[in-house]
Amino acid sequence: MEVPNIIWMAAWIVLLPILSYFILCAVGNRLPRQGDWLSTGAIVGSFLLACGIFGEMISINDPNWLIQHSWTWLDLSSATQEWKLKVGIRLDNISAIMLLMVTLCASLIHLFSTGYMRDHHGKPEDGYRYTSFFSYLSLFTASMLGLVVSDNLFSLFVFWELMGLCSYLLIGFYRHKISAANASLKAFMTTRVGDTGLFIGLLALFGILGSFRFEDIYAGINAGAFDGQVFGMPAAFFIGLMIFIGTVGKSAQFPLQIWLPDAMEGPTPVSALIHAATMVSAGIYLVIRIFPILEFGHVLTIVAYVGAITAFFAAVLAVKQTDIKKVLAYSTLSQLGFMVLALGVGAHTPAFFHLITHAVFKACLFMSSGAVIYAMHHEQDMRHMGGLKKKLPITHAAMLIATLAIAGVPGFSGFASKDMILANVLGFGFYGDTGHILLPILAFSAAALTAFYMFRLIFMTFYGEPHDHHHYDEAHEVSWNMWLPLVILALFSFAAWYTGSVTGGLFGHGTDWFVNLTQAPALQYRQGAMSDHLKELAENVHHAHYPAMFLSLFVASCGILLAFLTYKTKTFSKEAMAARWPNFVHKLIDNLYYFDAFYIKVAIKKAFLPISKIFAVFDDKVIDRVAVDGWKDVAMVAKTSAGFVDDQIVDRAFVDGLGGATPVLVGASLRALQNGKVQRYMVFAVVALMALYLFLNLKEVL
Amino acid sequence: MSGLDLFVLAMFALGIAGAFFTAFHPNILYASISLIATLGAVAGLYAGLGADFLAATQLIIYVGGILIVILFAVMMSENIYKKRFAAEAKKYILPSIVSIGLLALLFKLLFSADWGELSEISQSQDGVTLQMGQALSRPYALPFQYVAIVLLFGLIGAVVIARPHIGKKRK
Amino acid sequence: MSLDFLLHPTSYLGGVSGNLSAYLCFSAILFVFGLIAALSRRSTIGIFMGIELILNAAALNFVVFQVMKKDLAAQNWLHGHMFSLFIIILAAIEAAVALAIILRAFGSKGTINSDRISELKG
Repeated sequence: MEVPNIIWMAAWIVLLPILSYFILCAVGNRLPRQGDWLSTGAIVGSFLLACGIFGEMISINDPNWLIQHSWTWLDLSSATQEWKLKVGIRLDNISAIMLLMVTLCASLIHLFSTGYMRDHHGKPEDGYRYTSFFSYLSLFTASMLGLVVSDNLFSLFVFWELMGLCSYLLIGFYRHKISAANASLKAFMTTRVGDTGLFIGLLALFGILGSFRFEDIYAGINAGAFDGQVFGMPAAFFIGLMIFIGTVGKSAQFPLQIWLPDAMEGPTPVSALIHAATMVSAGIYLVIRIFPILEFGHVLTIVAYVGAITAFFAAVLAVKQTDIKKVLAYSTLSQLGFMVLALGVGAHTPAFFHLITHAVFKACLFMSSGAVIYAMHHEQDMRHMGGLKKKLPITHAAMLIATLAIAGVPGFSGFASKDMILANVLGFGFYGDTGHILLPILAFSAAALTAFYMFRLIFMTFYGEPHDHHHYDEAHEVSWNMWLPLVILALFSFAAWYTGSVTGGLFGHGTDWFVNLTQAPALQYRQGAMSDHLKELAENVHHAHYPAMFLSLFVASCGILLAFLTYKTKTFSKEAMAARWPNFVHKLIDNLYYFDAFYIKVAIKKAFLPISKIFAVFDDKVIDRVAVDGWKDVAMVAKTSAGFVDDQIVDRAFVDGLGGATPVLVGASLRALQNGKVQRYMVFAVVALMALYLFLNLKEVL
Repeated sequence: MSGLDLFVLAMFALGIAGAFFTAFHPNILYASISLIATLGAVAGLYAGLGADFLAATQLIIYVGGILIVILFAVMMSENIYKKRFAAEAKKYILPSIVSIGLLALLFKLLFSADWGELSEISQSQDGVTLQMGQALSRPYALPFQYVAIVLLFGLIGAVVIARPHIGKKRK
Repeated sequence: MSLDFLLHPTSYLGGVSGNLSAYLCFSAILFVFGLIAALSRRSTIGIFMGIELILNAAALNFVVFQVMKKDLAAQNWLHGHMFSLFIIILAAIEAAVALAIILRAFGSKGTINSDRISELKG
């Protein structure tokens, strides 16, 4: 079969950064400028190819545009049974737009990194690690792009895990810092919890459908392939829920949100790449891809509440942060919550719209904060900043535009997308089923808080009096390769690109090209009863449109005004405002709702450690009794119990001594499950394997 | 009972005996020598199944290559005639219980499964070498090249790991 | 096939070279001995030898199924043989790397006792 050229273009988009990764690994250090131009050049090449694909898509202008091609990767078919594992490339409107967004953001972030990763004299930080940094960036981008063009969940999962690995490498890039090393481990381990769910979902899916391809999944839903049951639950519900758990881990949704704020330990370009354009978007992208399963399996209500809870509670946390990057981290959490919420109420297009606009303005915000941090010689505390508008005019302008976008001011991209989400949520929870009234309340409060904390950031950083004159006097505008990306991304934070007549006229069709083109792809497979819910939603949204717009404008302006009065004119005293809230609220926020503490104290200390101790006791007491007798026995028991007590005390001191500190999460979980003896783990693995088999085939075995 | 049956039975016996001593012999040197017996028996079974190329490969790579390396490693790292591991027999108890449970499970699975139609073993004069060569040059050409690259990098990695002074400046 | 094979082995002796279950039993036993060695040997080399046994058992099964199952035997490309071949090659790679690691560990720790090399302990 002839492979269309456009498929090869998509393949090269992924291959270019991979090639650059391998070249950098092999000879990166010997290249001039340590090879940063190679990595940047590769991703710019990908960007140009993505532009080509995007142009093709725009010129065809068909909501159902779809080109796909798959190759057989593993063919183990026998004469009677077909068993093929296919991987391939799928290009439709969603992936074409996604490719353009990812390559644009990634190119600009690469460019930004060529400045940020050097010190103020243009010398690379940390010597040869400069090359590793760019090779990781390349690999990371390649995996994200591969994930976007995958036409099946299998290769998507492969790239998903590759991204997990790269995020570990990049978050822990400053490996001399213990906090960075712990943060990278924490990110890796926490997302692993979600990935386990995703993997289980994939296995169940393959068991039922015999294929990983989206095409077959959509067709299977119509054909009734998911009508059966898995573990006593409806198949579509189980699979949808499990895959969504993967998203919860990767996109840092409640209750696995704990890793993302810590991940700010990485260099700022990494934060921009991971927490704006790529990794966290991958989770949302996955949900968009498997949206039909979620809807068919009635998982969406769970999805909506997870999103709403994340959106609101993360926004509350952002209000009290003083670290400039932490504010942005919590705001990312909150915005991702918005997208998940939108998907949960059935608003597929607004969620994707917000995914794109958010990626652009959040990348801009992160890189602006990076420029500020760079100019301030790696000072991240906003309380030491202030008055930087004069020193960093370009950064200030770019960051202000992006902030206006995220706060939802009309004319900027964030308003267009967030307004659509809020209209859908209002339509769902107020005009539709008033039982879900909590959803719009949480969503609008989160929107108000977003406007407030983002302007708080702007006022604290760029306006007022400088608080740290030493750094302030030295600060100056960053070099061109750092401000240019900010300016470009700020330009794309205007709504005109997505909805206005500018691009509509440019591309030769209606004003709402984005919404028109991303309307259908995942939904066209739906038939009959399945679409009722969406039809109803569309009707309700129709009613909700204007109220939602006024409400969102109202809450945004309230937030901005409050921030202005508190942090700019200082009409309101922030101390007085803080005092209005009862003490336990402050404690709750300061301790991040006790999530870390909960995971350490309850999940690990009360669940994992006792189980492992039961095994230890069984091993030491029972096995020893069998094996050793007489005086030897007594001696052994004395010895092991001494060791046991010692372990207990040391353990307690270790865990309690560090209290709720984050590193312990990682340390304790490793410690609980591992005694350092590989063979013991292997025994457990074999036992678990047998138990699993017996569990699954209980009837046959008996 | 044909000659082939006798041969296969002998190989079974040799293989199981070798595996038993590999697992349980207290002296690691003898364990590795009995591993040779098992690997040779498997090679014999390949030959009995008509997989002549695999039998030769098994002999050359396993018996000729890997085992020699293992023996070298044993001699270079263990003081074999002094150290006996029998004193720690209790370490065998838990794994043995678990493994025998697994064996029971495997047998249960083996005898309850429906294996479908079985074919005769064809012992043609040419063997399957030609067919394997064709498979390696057509559908398996890429995997074969890929494995070759993995082998190359594996060997380079082994050299790098085994040399303690690589990457450090000599004093 | 049934458990008869174990209960009355002599009556099945005539067809042992063509008996699928006989081969599968043999490789199951090989696998389990390999597992015992891998799980209980003190010496890292012993663990490694156990893993080699496990790999051999799996490779043998591939060939047995390829040869004995009618629908697989009808196929042109001998997939079972190819899998075994790749297993052997990968085992060779594994041997090289594993033994390099063992030698290195012996050089730095002075022992290859797996219980003493417990860096994984958190």
